[in-house]
Amino acid sequence: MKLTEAEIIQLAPDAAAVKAGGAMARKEKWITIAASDRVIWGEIKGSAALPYQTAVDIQNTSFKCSCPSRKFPCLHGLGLLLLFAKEEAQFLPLTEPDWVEAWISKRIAKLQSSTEPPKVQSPEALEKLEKGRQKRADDRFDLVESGLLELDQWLKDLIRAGLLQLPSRPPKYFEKIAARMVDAKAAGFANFVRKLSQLDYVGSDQWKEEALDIIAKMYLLIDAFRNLSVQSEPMQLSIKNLVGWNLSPKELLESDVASIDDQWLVLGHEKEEIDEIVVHRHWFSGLESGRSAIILEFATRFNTVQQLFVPGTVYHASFLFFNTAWQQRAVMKTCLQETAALSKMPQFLESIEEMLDFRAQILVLFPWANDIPVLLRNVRLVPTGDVFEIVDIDGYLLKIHPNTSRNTCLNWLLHVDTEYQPVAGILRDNSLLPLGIFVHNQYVIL
Amino acid sequence: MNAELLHTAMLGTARRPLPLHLFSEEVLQILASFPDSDPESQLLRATYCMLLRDKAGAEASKAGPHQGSRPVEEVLDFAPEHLDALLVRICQLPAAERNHLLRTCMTIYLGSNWIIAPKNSLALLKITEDLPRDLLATTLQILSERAKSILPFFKNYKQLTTLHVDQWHFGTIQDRKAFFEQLLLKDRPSARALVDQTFLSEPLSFQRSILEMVIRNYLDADRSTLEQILKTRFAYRTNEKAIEKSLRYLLTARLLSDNQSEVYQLASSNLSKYFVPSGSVWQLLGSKTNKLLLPDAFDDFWNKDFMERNFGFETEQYDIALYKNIQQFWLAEFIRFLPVDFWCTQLQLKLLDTLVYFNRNEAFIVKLEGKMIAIYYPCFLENANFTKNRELAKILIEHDKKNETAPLLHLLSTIEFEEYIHQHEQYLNEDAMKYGSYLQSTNDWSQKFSETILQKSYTWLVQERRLIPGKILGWLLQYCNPKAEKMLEYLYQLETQSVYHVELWKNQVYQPLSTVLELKNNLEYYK
Repeated sequence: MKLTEAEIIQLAPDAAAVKAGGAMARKEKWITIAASDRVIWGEIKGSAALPYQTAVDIQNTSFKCSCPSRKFPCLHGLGLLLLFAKEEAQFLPLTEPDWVEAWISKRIAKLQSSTEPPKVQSPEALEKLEKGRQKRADDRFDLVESGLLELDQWLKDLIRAGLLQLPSRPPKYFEKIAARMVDAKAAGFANFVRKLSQLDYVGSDQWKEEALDIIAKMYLLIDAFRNLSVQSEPMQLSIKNLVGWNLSPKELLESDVASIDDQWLVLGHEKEEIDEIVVHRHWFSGLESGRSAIILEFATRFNTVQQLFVPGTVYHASFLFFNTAWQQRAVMKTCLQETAALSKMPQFLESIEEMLDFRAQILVLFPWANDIPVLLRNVRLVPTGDVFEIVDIDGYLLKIHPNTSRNTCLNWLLHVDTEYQPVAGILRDNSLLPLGIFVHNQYVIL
Repeated sequence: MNAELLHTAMLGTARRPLPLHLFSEEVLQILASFPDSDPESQLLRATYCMLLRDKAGAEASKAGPHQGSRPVEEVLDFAPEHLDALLVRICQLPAAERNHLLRTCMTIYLGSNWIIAPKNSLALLKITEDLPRDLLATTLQILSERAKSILPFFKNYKQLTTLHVDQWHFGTIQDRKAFFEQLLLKDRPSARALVDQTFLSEPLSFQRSILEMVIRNYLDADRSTLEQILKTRFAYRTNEKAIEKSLRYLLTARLLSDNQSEVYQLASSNLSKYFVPSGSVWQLLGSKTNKLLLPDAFDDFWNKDFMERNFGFETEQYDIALYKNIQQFWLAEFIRFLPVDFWCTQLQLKLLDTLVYFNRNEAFIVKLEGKMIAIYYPCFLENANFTKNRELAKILIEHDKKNETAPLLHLLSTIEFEEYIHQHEQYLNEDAMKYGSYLQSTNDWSQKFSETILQKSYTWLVQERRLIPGKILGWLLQYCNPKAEKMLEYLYQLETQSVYHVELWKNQVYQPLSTVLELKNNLEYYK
């Protein structure tokens, strides 16, 4: 699918990259530009002796550039793709040079290898492998249990002494136990502790409920982990994932889990940096199935994301879901086509009341569920003083999430063409984080 | 969340017992399934049970009456999507490169009666806090009704959108000044009416502010208002304050430059009495020129009382090294403000000859620190600026040998200015370039001038390895002619030795200017 300029801008890591990329989107800047049916590439003069070599996979949106920039995609990648979006005719249809061919072939091989069946091994080798795996699993289990013993004591001490002491606690108080959880391979608990340390203890008394909420969730998770053996298999997977076990997309792709084919609309994208790892969250909605999904991509300084999904795009693809209690996290198995237009509208919840009932059903499945993708049919955005709320057609309201930028809300107001509009967002902390609205049967990213 | 439970958690179980009596039967059953648990565990378990119950059973809140986001009907046509896209890109540029382009772009919108589609407006609205006042005012004219409806979210728009007379009556001093300034621009007659009605009741410092605003943008139609104020509020009084005298001076200065005003008539009718035919020899030769006979002693006109009472001129302190007597000092004041035509008419001389008369006349030349100084030369420079007399400015600039006329350069047309810069080789001189008339217009430099500045800047930076002066760089990015694009590319392709300076050229000039010129070329399509 050929991306539009607006969609390409969504891929930029920051506003500076958009600007710099825009400046590169002119033919005169490039020494050569060319294209094949699967990739575009070009050479551009930089500060190094040799020109930078830039290539973009236009089928599965990915970038490669020889420049030293640590941003991904870099300005050259963005510039080349923007130029392609604006002036495709300027790209000569040429045979791919070696460096492009090598990169794109490697990418395709990697993508295909993920769907190939595993190699057949001898029963002895398999038994050995299984033994090793079991030992590692047992060791880790013991390590986590020992860590949770400490955490349990830490939480009880906190409750015994009273949470009123939290605002006066130094950062070290939280860092120490968070680091202990990382050492105990229970990174999920470390994240809970960090959230506790990052609460706003000055602005208002809101922190009191928030702190108790976090602590209670942690304690529920400790209890759940202690009773892991009596849980169902999906719940076990969910609890372990929440504690810190990774879900392996590779294993999922190798498994025989049934895929779900659908037209998956990318509702939105969120980026969060945790411990020098950038987590990309892409939320999807299946237009046929009505299912929601989230695909996570992780980027580090040494490892860029494999694939970026452009918000507003519809992927005709098959998704595999992890067998968790609330099946939400998925990986894309195959993608047949990408389009910008909606062939049909997704399934909406009719009111805020219906949305709260929907959340209650999910909480029964998974009590820690917080980020719930929702599609509401008829709401309007209402400014109330300095904050925004949505009001549905029955007159019920829901607050807009405080982390929502003011510009997102203003952008929504600027797109209003009917009194009530369908909206997509994330139900988080009893408020809505808006992602996009539907205008004239088109999905507009906010 | 249960308040009792929260209270216990805050104080700690060591101080406050668990409120078990508040827990429901279901919660107590769950707690009972952990028989050995301590109060802390019980509190945490009870909390997560109750939190889950609250969350899963939450009911939606009912909204009060709201003014919501409703569709708005637009009166004007939306601009083409491509033009909107250009505007959005311009808004994303740094301020130094943006404002001139934005002015050009907005002129296109205004000329075609177009408005920006609401969905493209946010980029413009986001930068409003950094926009100069003129662009802010234009922004309002090209916004859709839908976009205007969200203006209350932008702090600096409140003043512009709520142009209401209440601001004048009940606002702070800043509000009132802002209101009046807008009113002067938008509705001059109403502004004058407001001054007529309320001026006398204003405090003196605010009166000064109002007068400064009116005088700065003086129109002939303001004459009667200013004359009325001069007569009623700033007429001479024996015990007047210094500020009152200074405001009389401010008013008479402006009115002296208007040959229809009463102050001008008073001054001209009296001054004309002191012009007499020049020497008999010249008359014998047929010349009809006159000369100015400035008295040494006080008389009916040249006296302290008359000057102070009618013009607010200084009567005590003046530079005695420069002026031989106070009459010469008062004459300097008249030369500053009276239209130069007056002197030409009285002397029966052309403009150049009038300047020669005043600046080469021994009576008006003094020796200071070993230099001969024409005492009225600076007054003519001020006069050209004050009366915006382009002809006078041109002559003064043409005969300037000491680079004293740079402040008059803004009175020249763009072509004349460029010619001046070329002749004097002032391309990279900020002090000369800052007076160019281009700074007040939407025009670019000519292609030739732009190319020359580019070449000079390139030589300066890459070959002579000196930094381009900051302001020159800013103006280059704003006013460079789009047709100079080839020169920009040519310079970028030149082989040079200093990689560092080429990189500087690329980052400071080539890349930003390429973007600006591309946008300008795109805008040309709509002109």
